[in-house]
Amino acid sequence: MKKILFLLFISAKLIFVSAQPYQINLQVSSFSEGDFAPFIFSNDLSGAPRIFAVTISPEQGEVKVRGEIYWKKDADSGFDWLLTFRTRVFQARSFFNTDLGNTIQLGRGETNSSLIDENRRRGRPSGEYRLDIYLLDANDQQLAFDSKTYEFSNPAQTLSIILPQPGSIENIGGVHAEWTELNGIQYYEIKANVRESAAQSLEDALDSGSPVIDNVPVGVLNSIDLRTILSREWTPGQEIVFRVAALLVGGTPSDMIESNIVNFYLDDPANPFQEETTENINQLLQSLYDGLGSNLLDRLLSGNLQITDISWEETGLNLSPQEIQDLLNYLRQHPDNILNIEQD
Amino acid sequence: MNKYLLLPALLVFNLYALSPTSVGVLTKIIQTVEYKAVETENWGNAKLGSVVYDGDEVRTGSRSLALLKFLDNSLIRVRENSIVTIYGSKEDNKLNKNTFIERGRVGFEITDQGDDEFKFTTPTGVASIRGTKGFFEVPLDGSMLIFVKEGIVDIESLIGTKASGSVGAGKFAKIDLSGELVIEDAGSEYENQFQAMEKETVKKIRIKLNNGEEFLLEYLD
Repeated sequence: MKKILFLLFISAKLIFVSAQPYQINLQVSSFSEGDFAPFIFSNDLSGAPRIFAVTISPEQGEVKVRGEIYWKKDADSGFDWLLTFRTRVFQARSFFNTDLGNTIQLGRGETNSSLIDENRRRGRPSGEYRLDIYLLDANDQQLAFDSKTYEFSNPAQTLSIILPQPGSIENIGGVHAEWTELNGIQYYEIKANVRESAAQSLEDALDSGSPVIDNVPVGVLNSIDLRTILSREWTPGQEIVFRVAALLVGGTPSDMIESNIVNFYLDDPANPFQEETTENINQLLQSLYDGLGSNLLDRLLSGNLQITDISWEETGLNLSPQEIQDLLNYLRQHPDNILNIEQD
Repeated sequence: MNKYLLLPALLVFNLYALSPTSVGVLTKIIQTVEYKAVETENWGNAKLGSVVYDGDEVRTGSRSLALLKFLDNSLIRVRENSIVTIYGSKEDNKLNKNTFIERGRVGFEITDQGDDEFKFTTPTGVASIRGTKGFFEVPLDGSMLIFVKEGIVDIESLIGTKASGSVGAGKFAKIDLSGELVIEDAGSEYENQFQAMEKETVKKIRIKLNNGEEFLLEYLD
């Protein structure tokens, strides 16, 4: 009789446990784009930092979890399926995404490769992401469900060269290059070449002949002295075109993000541009009969000030050494065509 | 009935006849350009698009420029520190123009005049132009210099011997205070000056110093 009572008690408990409804609660952590990027770009659920937590109650019985991520790229589009992951059966317990693939075994998963690629091309998470979590029993019957949406308001990241500035004059002994920092980067890669003539587009110049820097990976730092990675020597007076590309985590070289192309000029140490230009403008100002530009002349004659940059006001682009030379020749010949020189 | 219809038309015609002859329009004003209507004594700032009438005056300040386009599309560039008076008179279907250059430098691009007349007058000489390019220079002493880039200009001294001659392309003529006229081949210096006078687009460059100060240089290109 005791045995029968004991069996009834155990059976009742089992029935009670199996009948107790499961609850699931999905929490999305506060995370950065950099944290989220590898998660979404490479479907690396465990490799990313803690992105989400799933609380399951009661922590009893054997369960499985299916997760689906949807992406809404912009306000005009709907949520499109991005990827699905599935766990194997595990003892019900709360977990973080970092447990998936580690303490909780992952099963078969699927991804929408074209949308993953589109995300990768954008370089950083953008738009809205919705995570649907299904709690299933061992037979894939749904026990509970929760969903959360996370929005990235930032636009797609772009890679821009900060230094050298377009058209700037750089010391041949060292050219400090710097570009905007991207998230989720494996490495940056540099390419630079000599521009042989102004008729050549910057792109053609970059892709022609043998580059002075030939797609050299430089790690994840966003600055470098270009002089240190030259494939061959450059010479004074040359115009150099330069571009950075970034390989994102999980990406391939074919979908690297490329920066704008920037051109700069190499200064001749034996005939420094700044001194020469300063002296030429000195002479020009001294030749003006009406003392126009005397403020600037006073500065230059003080002896310790030099001209560092001359740029077009309309575009902000620096004048090339040749343009400066041509302009100074023109103004020397036609000083009457100078309308005004004033401090800004 | 017909005469009542004609009255308004006659009134408009008479008003038109009474109004001064419009000669051209100021199409560009750079820096200090002043204008004086013939019927007033006072100079005022010239405004872009102002119509210039017979007898009106235009003067430019230092490093300034005014462009005046005539009704026949002829153009004069009144360069810095210049004073000009624009005359225009209608005669039958012709509009005869005369620009008196009191002082300064004036570039010209004169369209084919047909039966019309286009003259430039200075304190020492007068030039008749029938479609050509070049420039005048009248220094403070009142002497006159003309460079002809294209075409031919008939020139005549107004004082002394009242000498006259024709100045062809690539030549310059000078009339001094005694009325003597000299015509010679112009060198590259005049050619360069002419090219510089044709510039009318304002460009600006920013010059940065190593102490952070910045200067703006404006020039004509």
